[in-house]
Amino acid sequence: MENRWTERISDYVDGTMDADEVRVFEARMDEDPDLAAAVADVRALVRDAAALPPVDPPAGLWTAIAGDLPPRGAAGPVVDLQEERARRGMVFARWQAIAAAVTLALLSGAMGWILRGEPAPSDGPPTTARGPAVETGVWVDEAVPARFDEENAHLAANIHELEVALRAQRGRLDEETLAVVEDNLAAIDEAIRDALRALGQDPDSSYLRSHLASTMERKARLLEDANRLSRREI
Amino acid sequence: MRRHALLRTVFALAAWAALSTAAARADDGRFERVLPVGDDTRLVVEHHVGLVVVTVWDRDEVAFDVDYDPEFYEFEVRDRGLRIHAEFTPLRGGRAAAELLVRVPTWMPVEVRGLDVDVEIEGVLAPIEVDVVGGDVFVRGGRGEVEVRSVHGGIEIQDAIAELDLSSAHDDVELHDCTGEIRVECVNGDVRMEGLSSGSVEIETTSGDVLIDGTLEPGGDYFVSTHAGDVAISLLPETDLTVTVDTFDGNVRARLDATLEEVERGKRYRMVLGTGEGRLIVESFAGDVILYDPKRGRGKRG
Repeated sequence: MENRWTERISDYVDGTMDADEVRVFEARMDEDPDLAAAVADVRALVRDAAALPPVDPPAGLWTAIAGDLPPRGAAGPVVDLQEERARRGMVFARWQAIAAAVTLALLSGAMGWILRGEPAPSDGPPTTARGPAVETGVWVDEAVPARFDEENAHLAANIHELEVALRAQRGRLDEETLAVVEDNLAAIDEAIRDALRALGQDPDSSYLRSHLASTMERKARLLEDANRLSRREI
Repeated sequence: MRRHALLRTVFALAAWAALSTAAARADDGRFERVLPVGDDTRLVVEHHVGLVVVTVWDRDEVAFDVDYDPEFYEFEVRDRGLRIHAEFTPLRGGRAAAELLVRVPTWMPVEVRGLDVDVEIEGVLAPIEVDVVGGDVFVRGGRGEVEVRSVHGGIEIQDAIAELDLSSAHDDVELHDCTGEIRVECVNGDVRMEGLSSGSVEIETTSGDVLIDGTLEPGGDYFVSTHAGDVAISLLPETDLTVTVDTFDGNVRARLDATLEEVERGKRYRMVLGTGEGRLIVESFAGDVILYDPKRGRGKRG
């Protein structure tokens, strides 16, 4: 499965391709079962995410936001939200934002699924996007998911795409490298879970938020490396 | 017309000479060749399994001494003007080891890429770039920029005066007597720096410990982050630094004359050394942090 096709999966699933592109993409899926499987994964994810109950903002959120706003009537620059999102690289489809939360909810068991090709840890709708810690131990406080979604959704979506791509190409990594990648991803996932638990206890900690983001960035870099190796770009 | 004919002859002779020397190739499993090189020429080595050793001499020539099994590899050296390109091409799926020993002028930049390859580069006083999947990398020397990546091998750098960018996911990174801006990223590996002299250091590891022993320059910018590892940093009392330590579940100690102020109970600490001009930020989620005067040592841990 070539990178140029995996990069178009979200366009295909979102229905933003034109008719010619769809025809070419579907012809490619017929030839490439890995690509077809990746598309099926993303569709399943979107379906599961759509079944999630709406997330209510935690109590006190508006008070916190209002505290950060300038006084009523104060002059300030008018910000074009579309431009601002584009500037921050935060233009992504709705399903990707939802997928971000789902991805994180599944993080603890995801790597075994990705690297060993085992069934996904949860085939049903994920139930851990909010509320106390359950089996995956990811969420521990209602305040965390909303803040996390806002700050790291793009990163989580990127990680998910890299995981899907790696899953499709894992057979091209030699056993030793696969084991090393798996060990390292497990260590990073453990660190992400730790950081999320800690954020549950101390949601206002700038250190913990920064630590979580940098750990996720490290995971993204490791996944990029693993994908690069699986494509023999070395 | 005669002039054009003469030019054509000269070009033909030059092309013949270039082909006969540049496309040097051997099929008996041994390859020994010396090629003259001009200024700004770069050595590029692509290998699969085995060993690459690069040493230096005082000639403007590159000498190859290669030992391989011709059943498993073809080996070829191509002179592409500004690049001498040495490459093993695997002939079958096996993973037979091959050795490449090469001598280069000290000024020659070196680039090595490989799969399961140990790499040793000694004495090169030029930029160095190594990118391998497995295998350990040892470098003594390096100037300008030194970039080393190994997914599951260790990295050791000595005596580099360079901007260093080092990454090993699964093994340790060690630096001895290095000078320059340094960036290191690991996941499971430790990071040890001894005899360091730097105005900018950035270290990130997930599970590894970090040890920094050396001179942090006044006004410098230093960042160390680990999730589960311990951190030990030696600080001279006269270093002009503002030190901030963040932790979630670690212990923080200072064996210095300066006072480590607890800004947020058990979570954030701050200390000013000298003028406080530079900045040292240490983050350890669950590991212990000790900042110590090298004259007093680290003391008992725990």
